[in-house]
Amino acid sequence: MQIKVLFTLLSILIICQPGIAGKLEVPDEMQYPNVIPPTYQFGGFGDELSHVLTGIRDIAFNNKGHLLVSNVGQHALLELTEKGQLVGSVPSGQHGKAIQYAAGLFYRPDNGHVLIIDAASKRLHEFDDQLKSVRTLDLPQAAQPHDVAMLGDRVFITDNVKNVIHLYRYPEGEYLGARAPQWMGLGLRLPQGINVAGDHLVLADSGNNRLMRINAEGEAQSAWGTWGSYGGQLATPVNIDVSGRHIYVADQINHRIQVFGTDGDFQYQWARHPPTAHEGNGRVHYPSAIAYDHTSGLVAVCEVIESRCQVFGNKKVAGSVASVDDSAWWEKATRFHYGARPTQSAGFLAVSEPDTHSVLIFEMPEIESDNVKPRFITRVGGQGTDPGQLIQPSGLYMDGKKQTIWVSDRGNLRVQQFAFSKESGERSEKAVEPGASIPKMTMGPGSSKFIRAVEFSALRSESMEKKAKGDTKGADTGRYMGEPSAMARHPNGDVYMVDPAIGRVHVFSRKMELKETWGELGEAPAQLIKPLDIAISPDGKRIYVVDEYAFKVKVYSPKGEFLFSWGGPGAGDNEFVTPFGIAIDSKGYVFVSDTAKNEVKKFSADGKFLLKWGAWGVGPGEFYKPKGLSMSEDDQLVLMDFGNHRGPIFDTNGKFITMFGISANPDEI
Amino acid sequence: MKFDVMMLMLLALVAPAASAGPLKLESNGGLYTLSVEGVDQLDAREFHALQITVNCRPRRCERLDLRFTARMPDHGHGQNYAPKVSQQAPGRFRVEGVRFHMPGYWEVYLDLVDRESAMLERTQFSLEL
Repeated sequence: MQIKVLFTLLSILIICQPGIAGKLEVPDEMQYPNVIPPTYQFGGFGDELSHVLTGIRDIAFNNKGHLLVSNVGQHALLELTEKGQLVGSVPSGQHGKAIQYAAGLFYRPDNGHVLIIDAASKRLHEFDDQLKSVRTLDLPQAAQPHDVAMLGDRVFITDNVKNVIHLYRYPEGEYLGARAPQWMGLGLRLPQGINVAGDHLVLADSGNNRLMRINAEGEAQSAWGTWGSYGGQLATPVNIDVSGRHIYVADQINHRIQVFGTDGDFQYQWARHPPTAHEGNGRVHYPSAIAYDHTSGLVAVCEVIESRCQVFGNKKVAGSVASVDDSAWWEKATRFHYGARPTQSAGFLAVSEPDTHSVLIFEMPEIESDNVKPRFITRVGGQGTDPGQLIQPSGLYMDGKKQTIWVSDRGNLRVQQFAFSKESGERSEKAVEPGASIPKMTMGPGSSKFIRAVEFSALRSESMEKKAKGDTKGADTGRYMGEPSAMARHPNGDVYMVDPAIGRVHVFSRKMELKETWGELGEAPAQLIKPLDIAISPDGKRIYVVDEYAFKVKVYSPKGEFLFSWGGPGAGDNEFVTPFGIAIDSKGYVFVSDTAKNEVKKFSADGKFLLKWGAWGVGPGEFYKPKGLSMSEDDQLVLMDFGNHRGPIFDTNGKFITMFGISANPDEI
Repeated sequence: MKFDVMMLMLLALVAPAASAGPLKLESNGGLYTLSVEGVDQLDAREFHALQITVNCRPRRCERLDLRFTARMPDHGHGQNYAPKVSQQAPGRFRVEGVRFHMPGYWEVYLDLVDRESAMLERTQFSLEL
């Protein structure tokens, strides 16, 4: 049993990994010159701090050399020393203002205060150097506030749904409007991190894989970067910090840090994806936050997947890797990466992979033992904006009988439909015969073909135009799409899709025509803050929606009437820390994954807790930040074990059956 | 029996008087049928024009736009000259400046966009030039 041997080895490696700041081993694999051991490392598997660091969203150094951490798992703002000792926090509910969903933060060197976004309540909080609340600013104009920076008397909030930057006069709170800077004719796409660089700002235009420099008016001055893995290229840059002369970028899907001059000239890079499970020591796994300490020159890099931070001595790194321009791991890797959401239908399994901007399709044999695995068929999409290409695909709906699949193309604001074929071999081709009768669509085996797309960007423009003209009804007809996301098929053939950006559910006909929209954005029990996944009861009478920012499952009729809900923030059996996926079996039992808790929970159709399984780790039945769920027609549950890059399969009582995706050989998946 | 375009072009060289009829295609999702005139004249490097007629029924052609692109999937690139599409009547389009700048296998994409529903549906065919 090669797999069991592999697990044993992986477990030993992880158990042997140092967990506390201080003594660090040399990385196991040093043939790459850009793997530099950190000065300090804290959090991660087995470390006592790891439970505190669940869900790191952003970091910054304060003038004491301490690290401020925006932490969604604790609903808190934390203050740690550079070695990882917890010295202060603003937990949920203190100071009269709870932080429901901690997002981007900005440290103000002028007065030692910190600004932090609460993405769920759409508020900006300011705390002083003792972490006492100073003021709160509502951000009603932001659909999805992500990060914040302050320059002069203005704060800048990135909004990765509206693809704009919101400007406010601060602390007065006057709204100065939204800015949509363009460079080379290209506007923002899923903007994330933003920070101050002298008298201007730099932001991560994440969906366009570039960095943009803007002035205090929010106007573009320059932009650089393109999708790729060589030095200076980027793959989903998410977070930025700036020293006097350098811009540090968390280049997330390249699993590395890149350093640019303030004019955008590439300087150097360091860190790579871990070759063994979750190794730190200079290897980084999905770096999500970065901070530079102007006093000590230290650079902290935090990895949300690993609940871990590594702190590097910048002079040491710069001196070691100054001339390295090395391609990152992912361009060379043969293994499948696995991503956010699975779906199953009629013997097929599909998995969306936002990292590689594609969807993987498998044939599912009758799986009864550990020896039987899904068989890879084809890959759909690829990074880009043309029809048939994808940017950060999200939800899926598959009709296995017709061998077609719908893909929520988040970054391009559209839903695309593809056909696929399960055989392998020839090129996709359509017969052409001038003057002949109309040929049926033919397709080469083992391939996929783009069929159609609904381009919601066009509908959004139309809706905004109507709104600008005062036609509020026209602007609110349901044709407005905030973010295409998770989908589920109703027994009547309709397809339901959640829209996390605007708290709604869209209903499509099987021909992809938008039939209706229901739901309302808000914090009331019947409203939705951030609907993240959806499942439908076997009889079609109940629509179950995971509301991430409410930490609940909310249940509606097919027409959108609120029925009931369960859950809430917390670690109890009936609570969720970061709920993500949902699936329902043929008997109506409901399964929900909790990313931060590394668990799957089973509930009755009415929300009564029945059982749970899973723990943090790499062994069978253990998970590393699990995401989506999918139930097959014969009640086998596929989970996307995101951090372990694999897909375990369970029965409805949590009994482990098999898993796939851990091998580098596609034939063995 | 199937013919590919190269065979048809060879036939056209042997018997130039016998002009092939328009290429008739069904869109990948089956919403439209298309008639494409001028395919039999296509070759590498030269500029060409295509006449495309769309049967939209039961939908309406008034709200349709056409986007024309072509790619060499084996080489990972498209055309180096952007063709110009003009609408002559609802559902009737002329594509000028069609140039396949190197010989080899090409895939041609005719994307019809319904402005009302914002739905884009692809029709495609392949060429060996």
